[in-house]
Amino acid sequence: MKIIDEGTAQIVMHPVRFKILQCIRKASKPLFVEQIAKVVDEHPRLVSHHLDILQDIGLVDCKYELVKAKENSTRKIAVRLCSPTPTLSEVFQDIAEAVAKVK
Amino acid sequence: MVKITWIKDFGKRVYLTFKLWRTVLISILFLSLVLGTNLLSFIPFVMRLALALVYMLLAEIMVFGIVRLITDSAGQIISNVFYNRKHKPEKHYFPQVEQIAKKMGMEYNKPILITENPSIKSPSTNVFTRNITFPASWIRRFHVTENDAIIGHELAHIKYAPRFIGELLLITLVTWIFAFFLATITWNLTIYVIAELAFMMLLLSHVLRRNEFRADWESANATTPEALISVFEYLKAECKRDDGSETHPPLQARINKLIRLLNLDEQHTDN
Repeated sequence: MKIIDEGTAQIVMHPVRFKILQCIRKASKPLFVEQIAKVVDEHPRLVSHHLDILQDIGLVDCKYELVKAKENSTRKIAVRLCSPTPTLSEVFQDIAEAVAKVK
Repeated sequence: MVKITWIKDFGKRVYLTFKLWRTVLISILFLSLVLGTNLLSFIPFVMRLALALVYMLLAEIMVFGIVRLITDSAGQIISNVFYNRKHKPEKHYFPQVEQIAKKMGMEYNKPILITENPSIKSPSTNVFTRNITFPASWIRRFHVTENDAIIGHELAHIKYAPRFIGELLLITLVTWIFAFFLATITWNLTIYVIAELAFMMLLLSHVLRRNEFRADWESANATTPEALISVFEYLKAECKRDDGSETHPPLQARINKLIRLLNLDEQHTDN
């Protein structure tokens, strides 16, 4: 078992961040901020702030892509697509092992 | 087994506070005995009036002592004084503090005091010395952006210190008028202290809570509302009940106010 450092643990244990990480991890494809905000029921700007922090410590990978604003429209808007990094699975594995040990 | 640590903590705080205010307490008891039983009827009326004024002043100091005890600040202040004698807090200079202060329209270039004192559970500001004390655990716990928002909140307390002190003086004046009115009705120390304490707590609680909202708003404007909301959400998840305290409003109420600011910003951007 690789024990995650205190700083990472503190950041992951934030209630909203934990929900965001679970949402990103469970998703089959990269999600954009609005989609995550809907799932975790938080303000998109708040989700964006948490994503910045998670990207800082390397748990989430974010890329900007141009997508169509509406299905029939030709206008494109930039969205931030977020996907999990391999470190995220390791962190969740660590947490699961630590919880199992406590039980 | 039921944990009774909070009873021990409270007992310790009561003991330390009364140790600090014992001279005042003894003087009040002595004066209330002398004035209440009319033992000094032989001395001139003017002197008795002067003694009564001293009595009122001491009672005021006592009421302030009890208010501080109830609002938990007495315990923190006393514990900090004793702790700092042995372990000096580390002084850290954060360059971003000066920038945040500038954004808020004030000057601040002092270092932040970082303490490992376990009884200091949240950042605090001394508005007279303009010192900001930060628990080391908070530095480790929160992200840089979030710590900046917290520092912004503390800086706002310094910025509004003159207005806040003015409000406190106004409360004291109003309580004094109330105390004089009480004194015309009763010399009974218990009724006097309890009634005055309740009146003062009511006014003080309103002013202190408003001061916190004002600091949140100012910090959110100087840094970002998201960081401050994030800190409050973390703290809310930590505590079992979010009822707030005599000095601080409930965290959910503070979050709601900041979310209103987020929506307001969006409206401005849309326009």
